[in-house]
Amino acid sequence: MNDQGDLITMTLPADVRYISVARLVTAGIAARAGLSIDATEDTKVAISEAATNVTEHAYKNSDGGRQPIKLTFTVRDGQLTIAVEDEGCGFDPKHLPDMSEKEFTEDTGLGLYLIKELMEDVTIQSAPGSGTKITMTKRTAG
Amino acid sequence: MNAELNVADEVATLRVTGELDAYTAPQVRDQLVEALAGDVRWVLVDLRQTEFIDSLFLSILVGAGKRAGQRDGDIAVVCDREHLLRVFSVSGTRELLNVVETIEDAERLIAAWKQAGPGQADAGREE
Repeated sequence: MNDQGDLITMTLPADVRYISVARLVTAGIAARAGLSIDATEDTKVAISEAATNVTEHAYKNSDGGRQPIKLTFTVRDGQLTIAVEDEGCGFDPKHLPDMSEKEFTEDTGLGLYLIKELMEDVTIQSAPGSGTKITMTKRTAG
Repeated sequence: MNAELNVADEVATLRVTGELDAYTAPQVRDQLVEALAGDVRWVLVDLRQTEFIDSLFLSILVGAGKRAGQRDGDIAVVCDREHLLRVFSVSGTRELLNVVETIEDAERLIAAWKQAGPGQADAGREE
């Protein structure tokens, strides 16, 4: 491991059929990072939610086709940090739902809320037309 | 993922094996919607052989519970896997969806609801 930690990058088609692949890869890397079984399960839910957001929303109004989802995993100092990026339509962060609010509507999932509750240091960067990047961390301790 | 739906005596029982995510959960939604378009009032979802659930599936269960409620029915979910129970707890849906850990508890709950009649959805729940 170097000073920046171990870096793993991959891309997946922005297609719901590949979300399970994102979970499988995450489970393997989480084990390598030393996460507990519970922490690994939390991380699998979070990556699944983030990837689902891309497949369901990022290219909804796009004429340019679906670009792949980019996943970046960084294992460093007893923590696993994951970034999920798309090149989709993006949005104005002012319109982000309040992540402290649970949404029980059928078509609007609890995805962001679950990510925030299950992971640490969750950030969302987005701008209209510039894609979205969700970054989140899970630590081996606690 | 495999989902098996049986309907008997106004109860739809759905047994799911495998993983429920944005790819597989819509199949389950279609089955539940179809069941609740018939004479079903009560929904029992058995997740004892389920490996993974996400927020979309939770939303589908909430929707099924609402539809059942419109018919004076309700939903009960059987789940005994810690990592899935954590998702129900963190999302705040554990009570809303009447999550219990054994099939006997779910059947008891539905029997109590049936006996109590419309508007008595709290029947059978432990204090």
